[in-house]
Amino acid sequence: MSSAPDALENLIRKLESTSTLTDEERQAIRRLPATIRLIVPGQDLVQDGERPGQCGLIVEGWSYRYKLLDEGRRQILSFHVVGDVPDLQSLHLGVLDHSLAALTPCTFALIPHENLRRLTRTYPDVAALLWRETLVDAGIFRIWITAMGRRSAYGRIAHLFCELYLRQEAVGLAADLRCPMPLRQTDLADATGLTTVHVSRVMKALRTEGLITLRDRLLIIHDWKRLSEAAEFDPTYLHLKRVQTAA
Amino acid sequence: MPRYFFDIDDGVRDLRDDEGVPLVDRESARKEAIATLTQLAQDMLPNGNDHVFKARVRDESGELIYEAALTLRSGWVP
Repeated sequence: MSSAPDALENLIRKLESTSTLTDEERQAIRRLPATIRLIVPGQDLVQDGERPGQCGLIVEGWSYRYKLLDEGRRQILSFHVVGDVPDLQSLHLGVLDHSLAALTPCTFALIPHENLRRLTRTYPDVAALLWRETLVDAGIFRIWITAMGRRSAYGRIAHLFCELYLRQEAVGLAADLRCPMPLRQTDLADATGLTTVHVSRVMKALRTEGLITLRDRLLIIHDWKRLSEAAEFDPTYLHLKRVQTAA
Repeated sequence: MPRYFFDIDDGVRDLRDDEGVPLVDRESARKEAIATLTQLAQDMLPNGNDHVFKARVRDESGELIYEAALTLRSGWVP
């Protein structure tokens, strides 16, 4: 199990994927107190309506944010990988308006709000970078709304794969058009507003047309150009420092 | 959870489902079939005047337990 300082390196790596920190800022992040917590798949880290006193930095695994409706209907709002702080908004909004759960076995470093506030007061540039993270987060929501409202089932799923590959590539979790992809078809369905049967059909089509292979939780993109064209994918909204694949 | 198999004919291709989907009961399978037909219709209908979407649901023993069809009939008024 990773120690707290090691865990915080993930936050530094994430922030430095789009910007550069000074030595002093890096040291200040390393000094943040953090409690390590393991969450099993399906378990919530924080629930809708709670008032967390800390933010959770993902150190290992995947998590997702979601809303539950009656009859067990679930809408997945976003997926998160190592280096993300999915409940960063709780720092300023107090009450959480959705839940955050583990998709895979997930290790979080829990950082008290108090210490994050002190960090952002002392280092305004770090505050700006965290603000930037929440803005990119909102940008991703805009693109998901666009997909859910206007894209075909095929386009939605192709777009999601493009996004999840590039986000992982940006923080060193993926390369050469291969990346971890632990989503089950029910997760894809709840993230795209489709039935599981429909997702299954689209996956079959993507596979048959030679665009992707998804096996043993590994996604292989065989043809980035065709996949991103099918998705009408434009990576601008991710605001990555450099987009290697599309370049 | 029992697994249900959904053979879907979208009017272009009739695809047999060999993987199946785990669902809590037959009623969930019925809802899954109908919702899938409406979603297929949303993606495919603007491209034509007449269209039939069909779903056949089989249980784990291979027995056909449910059938649904969604039909669009349309045309310009002469």
